Parts: sequence; C-alpha cells; structure tokens
Amino acid sequence: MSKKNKVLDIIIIILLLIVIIVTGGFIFRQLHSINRFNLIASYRAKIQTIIDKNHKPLSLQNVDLIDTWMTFRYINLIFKLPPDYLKNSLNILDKHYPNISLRGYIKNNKLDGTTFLNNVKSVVGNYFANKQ
Amino acid sequence: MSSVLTIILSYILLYRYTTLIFCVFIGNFLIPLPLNLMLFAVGAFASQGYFNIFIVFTTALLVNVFADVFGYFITYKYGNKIMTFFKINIENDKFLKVKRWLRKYAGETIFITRITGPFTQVVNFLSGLTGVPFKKFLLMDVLGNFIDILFFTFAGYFLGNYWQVFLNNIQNIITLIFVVVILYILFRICFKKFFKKF
Repeated sequence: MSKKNKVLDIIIIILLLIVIIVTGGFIFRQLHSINRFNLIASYRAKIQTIIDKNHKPLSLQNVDLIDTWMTFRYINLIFKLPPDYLKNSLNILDKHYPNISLRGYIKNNKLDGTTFLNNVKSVVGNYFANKQ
Repeated sequence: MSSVLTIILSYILLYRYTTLIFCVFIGNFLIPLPLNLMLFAVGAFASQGYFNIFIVFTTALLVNVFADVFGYFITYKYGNKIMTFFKINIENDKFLKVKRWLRKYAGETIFITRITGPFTQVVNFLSGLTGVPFKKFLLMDVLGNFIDILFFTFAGYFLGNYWQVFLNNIQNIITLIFVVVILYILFRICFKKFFKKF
C-alpha cells in the first residue's frame, strides 16, 4: 500500500469517527428530550397496567380455563379459593388432596372425566356466585 | 394443548423444580419435548406465585447448558466407539460432508438449534462427533439458550393468568421460527449452488 493510500485511509477513518460521534450526540439529545416528556415513564405505566390486569386473581368468567392437568392446589391458588373448599364441596377423601391432579383423581377413583371436570367448574363458579 | 405437555404440566405442578430439572435435562439430552411451551407455562405459574421467576430462569439455563455439554462430551469422547459399536461407518462421503458443513457453520447451527428446538440433541451429538471446538460450542450454546429461555419464561410471566389463551400463538411463533430457519438453510444451499455454476 502506498503512502498516499494510507493517508487517505486515515482521513476516511477520522471522518467516519466524526460522523459517528455527531450522530451519537444527536441521538443522545433526542433521547434526553424524550425523557423530559416522560415517555419512558408513561410506557412503564402502560406495561405495569397490562401486567396488573394479567396477574389479577381469576374470577367467574375464567372458570372454563380449568383443565384436568391442573392440581387442586393450583386451582385453589389461581382462583384464591379457601384450601378445603373443593375438598368439602366435591366430597374428596383422597389423602393426597390438594397435591393431586384432577386427571390423577379421576383415574384413581374411576370417575367420568368430563362429568367430574364440569362438577369442578360449577363448584368454582358457585363459589364466586355465592361471594357476590 | 398436546397430551405430552399436559402430562408434563401436571408433574410440574406436583414436583415443581424437580420436574423442571428432569424435563429440561431429558429434553435437551435425549428425547425432544415441548420445552419452550413448558417454560412459557412455568413463567406463567411464576407470575401466579407458584415459582420464583429468577430461580426458574437460572435453573433452566444451567440445566440446559449442562445437558447440551453432556451430549457434546459423550460423543466427543466416545463417539467413535459408539459408532463402531453400532457398525456405522463414519468415513463415508455423506458423513464427511456433514462433518465439513457442521465445522464450517458450527456457530450459527448451534445457536439456531437452541431456539428452534427439535434438532438440539442431534446437533449436540454431531458437534462432539465432528470435533467442533468446545469454546465455540459453549459460547453459542449459552447465548442461544439464554435468548430462548429469557423469551419464553418472561413471555409467560408477562401474560400471567391468560397464558393458555396465547398458547396457540406461541406455538405459531415456534413454528414460524422453525420455517424461517429451514428457509434460511435452503436459501444458503441454493445460493451457493447457483453461484458455483458461474
């Protein structure tokens, strides 16, 4: 590489660095002004609202989410039911309650899956209906 | 929801972290399991207070990497013996082609298969067998797993109680990533062949 080419390369690199620094400065200023308008805080609030909405305890409208893979403990937790509510309402005598899945309980007691699942849904639904 | 996933979820709710560790290890070392969907669900369980999201993330990442390295190590150390035992000739043209290809594109292959899922075990074994440098394997493995686990667990955590509603969408996203990866590989192969002609 000739000396002339080397000098040209250095000039190009310096020019590129200047462009990068100037662009960086503009972006920084822009971000700073956005921050002044509190855009970030407003987005944070929006995201928090969505999280709060998604993390609210489930209610009567969500009873259909109940499925046979769920354990009684999990159903109690997501619907905020009293620990023995399902046990008493469904006359469950299994010693593993609440640490047993609906599927496991159905299998152990040779019950009809669909009927038992519907019973659980209606019992949970009744809990909310009585609460109102 | 697939029956495999429902069985896994029942055990997850019953034995929590033990099932998580077991499934992540088996799913990465031996049998393809719907791990991304499982992590998505576990993220949602964490938002409901059933798990701690940071312990889930760390455990899943560590076990994932350990299982991958274990698969890599076994074939790296005993690959030739295993192949000889099963009377598989590793000196044939096809295998040498795969070896060359994997060595050339090791980084991206390892990284992409961490996210797409079903080929993880195969790529781990092949990486060990073809002698992909360990540092490269580990770096790409950690990077790919980090992004994958971060996305699925926190997506579940964010959607919270309504994760089941979005399960099909997540399944579609996984399929889309898979299709894009296949198209990318096909494009690269065709592109190379096309330019070889000229």
